[in-house]
Amino acid sequence: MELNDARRKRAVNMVWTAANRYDFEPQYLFFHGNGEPDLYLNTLEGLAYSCMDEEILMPFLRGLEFGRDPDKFRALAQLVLEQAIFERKREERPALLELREEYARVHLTEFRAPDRYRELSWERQSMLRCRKILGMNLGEFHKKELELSVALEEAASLPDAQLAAKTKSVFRHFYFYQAVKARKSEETAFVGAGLLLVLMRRLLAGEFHVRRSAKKENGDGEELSRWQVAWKHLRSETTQAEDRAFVRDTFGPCIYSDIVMQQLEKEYCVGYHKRCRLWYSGSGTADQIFGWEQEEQMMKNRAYYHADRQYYERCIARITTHLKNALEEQQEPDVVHTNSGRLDACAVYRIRAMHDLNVFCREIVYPLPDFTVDLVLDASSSRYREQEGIAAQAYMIARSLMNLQIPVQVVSFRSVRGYTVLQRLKGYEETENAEGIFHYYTAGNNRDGLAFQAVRALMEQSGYERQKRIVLVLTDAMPSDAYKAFVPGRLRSSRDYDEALAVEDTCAAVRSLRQKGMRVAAIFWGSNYAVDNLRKIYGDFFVRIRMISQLTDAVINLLLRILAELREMV
Amino acid sequence: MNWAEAEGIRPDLRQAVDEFKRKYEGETISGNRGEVLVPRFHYYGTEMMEKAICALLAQKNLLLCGPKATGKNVLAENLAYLFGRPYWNVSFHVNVDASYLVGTDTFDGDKVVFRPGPIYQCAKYGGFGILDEINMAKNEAMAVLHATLDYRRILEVSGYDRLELHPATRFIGTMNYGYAGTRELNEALGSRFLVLQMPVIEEKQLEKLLRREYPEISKSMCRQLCAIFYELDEKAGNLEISPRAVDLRGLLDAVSVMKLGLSPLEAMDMGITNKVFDSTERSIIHDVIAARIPKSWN
Repeated sequence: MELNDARRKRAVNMVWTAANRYDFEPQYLFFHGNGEPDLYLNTLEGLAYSCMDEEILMPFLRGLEFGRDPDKFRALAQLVLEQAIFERKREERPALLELREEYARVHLTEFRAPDRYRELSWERQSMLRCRKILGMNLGEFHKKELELSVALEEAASLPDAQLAAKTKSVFRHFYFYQAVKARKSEETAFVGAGLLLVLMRRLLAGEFHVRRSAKKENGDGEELSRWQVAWKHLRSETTQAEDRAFVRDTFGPCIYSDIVMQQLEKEYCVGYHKRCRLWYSGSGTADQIFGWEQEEQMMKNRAYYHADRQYYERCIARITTHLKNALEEQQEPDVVHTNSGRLDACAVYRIRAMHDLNVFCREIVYPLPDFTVDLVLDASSSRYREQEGIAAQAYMIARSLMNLQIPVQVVSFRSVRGYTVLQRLKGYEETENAEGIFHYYTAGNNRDGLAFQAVRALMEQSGYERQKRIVLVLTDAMPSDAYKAFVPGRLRSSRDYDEALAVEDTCAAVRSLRQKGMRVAAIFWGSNYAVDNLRKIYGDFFVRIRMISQLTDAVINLLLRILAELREMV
Repeated sequence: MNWAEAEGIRPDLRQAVDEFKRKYEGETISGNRGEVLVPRFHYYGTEMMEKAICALLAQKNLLLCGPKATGKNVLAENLAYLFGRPYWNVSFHVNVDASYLVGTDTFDGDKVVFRPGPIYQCAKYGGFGILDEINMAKNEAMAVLHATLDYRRILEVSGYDRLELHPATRFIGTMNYGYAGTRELNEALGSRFLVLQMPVIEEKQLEKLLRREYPEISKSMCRQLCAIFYELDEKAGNLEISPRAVDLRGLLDAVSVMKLGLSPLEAMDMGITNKVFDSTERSIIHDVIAARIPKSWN
């Protein structure tokens, strides 16, 4: 952790401790000139969250922003708030008095001589306050300044609503201040300006990128053409080329060459899937083209995560520790008595007395299982409402596993226009970055049988030929696809790909993965009526979640169960 | 008025415990080992105490689960005292095996003899077995206790004996899920206990404990120490610091060195802050303390 991060963390913690809440980002953080966090001011800010009414104070403070000389009045208002919070909390926290004195001492050394400032300026008021705190001589301040100081202190002693009113009246009396109530439009402008600033910062930091699609640049009206193609598709009038273009424009180009794709389709598009196509896409590099819906969803997923970033980061730390404990435990050696190895002196008597030659110790060492984890996410339209939650949870899981240097791959799948699209959101080789997961995007149906077979192509990469593969599937156990299943020998050579047929097909796909040594388990997030399907497909290897926030715990539980099994097999 | 009465334990439970005590009085191992030890600390928490008493009166084993500083061991020792039984404390670790628990054979002069382990002694003499951090041991090692902990109440000593448990014998397991090295109890073992989830000590009880241990402590100091404890607990709960700092023993130790003239800030650093090894975490903990205890306090 960089020093600045450590100092920031300290400052944030000072605020949280005092507020006795951890669910917000402090609005301000205070540091001394040497960069160390200021315990007094940060504690005071935290206390403000616990003892002042935000609904009353925010409009008051915001109103100051739109009047004249906002810096001066904001600083004077802060002097009132400091006094108010201190007085309210001094009994409860005896340390505040000394911290305040220390703060005043430091503050005075940082200011220039009082005669350098204008009369009634906030700087002189601030110095006056510090001197008062330290019991110093106030002779150099004018009568009016002393009156102002007393008036501000009086305002500070009042309850919130009166405090705001009294402070405004003090400002009126001493500065002929005209209170401005932040009008709705101004408030909107204020908030809007803030958002714009945030967006500008993020743009400048390269966090977002603005891209125009290649077709638009050619003046070709890409969106219109996609809608036209969609309409044609509904009427079954699209050509293969148009379907392919649609998939490419929506999910990005295929990561495999045409020749490789032919081989893969030959291998996986068999049986019920004979007339289906496959498409493997990545999660977004600069040269990839996505549909605007996907781009927009990616922004939403990211924003959702970042809005609660602190919480997610803490969860990642918790999951990492939990998994680390479990893995370390699995590596602990067992000591057994054998007839060769290291001599156990205490047991030597057994040779003569009991004719037992097992007086040697040997440690059975359990190596860390060499495994990869594949998180396979159903990305059909039924998940539409939970896209942001799924992306955030998957990101947490991936980051936790990455912290433990376990290769993890995250793949989403859906079926659109006869194509089963597998999108690799994060590959094994990405050991530092899992941002691709925010490209999680739902569309179409879920042809589970084909997707589970085809995902093998993404697993079998050079450098990741692990003996053990753990495949965790987020599913509703309701495979279905609008594209029919091919059934040879029938008059009409197709049947609907849903219900019993789809379940049977998915069951066969899971069985086939298991026969290849993969541990397949499901995280079930669906309705009661799909439970039978679930048992048929996954046997006992599943956990059920009722809301997406339970996904991470479910994944950990399944992982630990599977790891315990793997250990027994060593 | 005895302590159980003072704590407000239900009269019918007190009476049942007294009967239990009377019934088995004197039935124990001879010598010091059979003594009923007076616990160093009292457990404050009537509700938990009553639940635990019910479980033990029903001849069930008890599993006390909870994070640090919830008084698991204190409650276990208090129960043994209340029921008037000696206790055997078995600290579990990863290499605990059947011979460690039940006993092993050893060579005594010219013959091989059985050297009983703590579980054997507990079973024979009607003691309370406190199985401390039971989830540190491997589940396979615990399998030897399955018959001891369920309705059979027997202890098989392979090659020697089959011991029926003394009717006063009870086992109380403690576990803290999440410590480094801990694991989940498997279903077979877990089902042999009644489980109490131990809450973090309440503020009133903590204040009571501090004032009982250190009557000379000022009311204001006591309140600040309690506040520090809960603020650190909250911080650890939010994963901002490691749970090492939420250390009730450390807090009590700090107060005991304050009595010898160390300043409260120094004492708290010794008892709590310095137990954490990450420097940022240490600073955060120090800030919590410094925002509560004035430097000038003595």
